[in-house]
Amino acid sequence: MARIEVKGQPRFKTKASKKVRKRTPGVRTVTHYKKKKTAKHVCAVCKGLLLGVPRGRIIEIKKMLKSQRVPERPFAGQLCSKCTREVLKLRAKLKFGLIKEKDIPLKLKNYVLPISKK
Amino acid sequence: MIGSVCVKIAGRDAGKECIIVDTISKHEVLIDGNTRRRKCNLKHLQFIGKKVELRKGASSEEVKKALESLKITIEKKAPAKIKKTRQEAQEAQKVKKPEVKKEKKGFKLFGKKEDKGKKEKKPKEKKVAKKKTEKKEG
Ligand SMILES: [Zn+2]
Repeated sequence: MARIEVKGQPRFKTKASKKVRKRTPGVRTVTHYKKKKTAKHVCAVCKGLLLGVPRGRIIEIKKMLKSQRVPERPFAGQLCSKCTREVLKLRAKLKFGLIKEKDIPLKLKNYVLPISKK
Repeated sequence: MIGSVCVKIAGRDAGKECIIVDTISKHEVLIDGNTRRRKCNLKHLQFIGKKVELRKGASSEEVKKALESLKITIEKKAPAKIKKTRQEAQEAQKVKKPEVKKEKKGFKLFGKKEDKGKKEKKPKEKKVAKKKTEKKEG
């Protein structure tokens, strides 16, 4: 059994940072401390995973181009594509008088109505 | 099918109004209006229940007039950027260069004036410094 050494600065030795064990060229195992990724991005209505939204530290994501960070669609990064379609369908029907405000389900009411009517 | 007004649900034009101009196949149509003029799947459209009289393959100006008749606001597109050829870009740089030099001369003049102002201020600072040293000695 190889002995485990703990290296690195003490300010990173918290539960907020992730431990990684590495084998050095001198055949020792050493723990390094890495910063954790952010949580997976999730749809606000159905809690499904969002596609096309990268995961990582904020610094890594800010270096990307804007088109790589989030899809080019209304409600991108907030709602999944299924939920946005439902919202936009209801918006179109409400705008041209096919339905009324009562018919909108409670889940989607925040997104369907314009901001001033909330 | 041609002339029916709909709202696009998917893609980057989602939430914008358009009119069907042509049919391509069973499930694909050509649309135009506030969206770009492009092929579109029928699953990506929400029909409103309104129809306009249009000829097959109508131009985008005709479509805009039809939308105006329904009191739908037309979104103004940002003017497209014109790409310069390499020669034009080089000529533009040649013209700009002498303007930059003139500005630099101006900065130098301002710098001289500022120096004069600084010279007047400097003795005052020295006096203050001297007073402090005198106090310390005393
Ligand atoms: Zn969803």
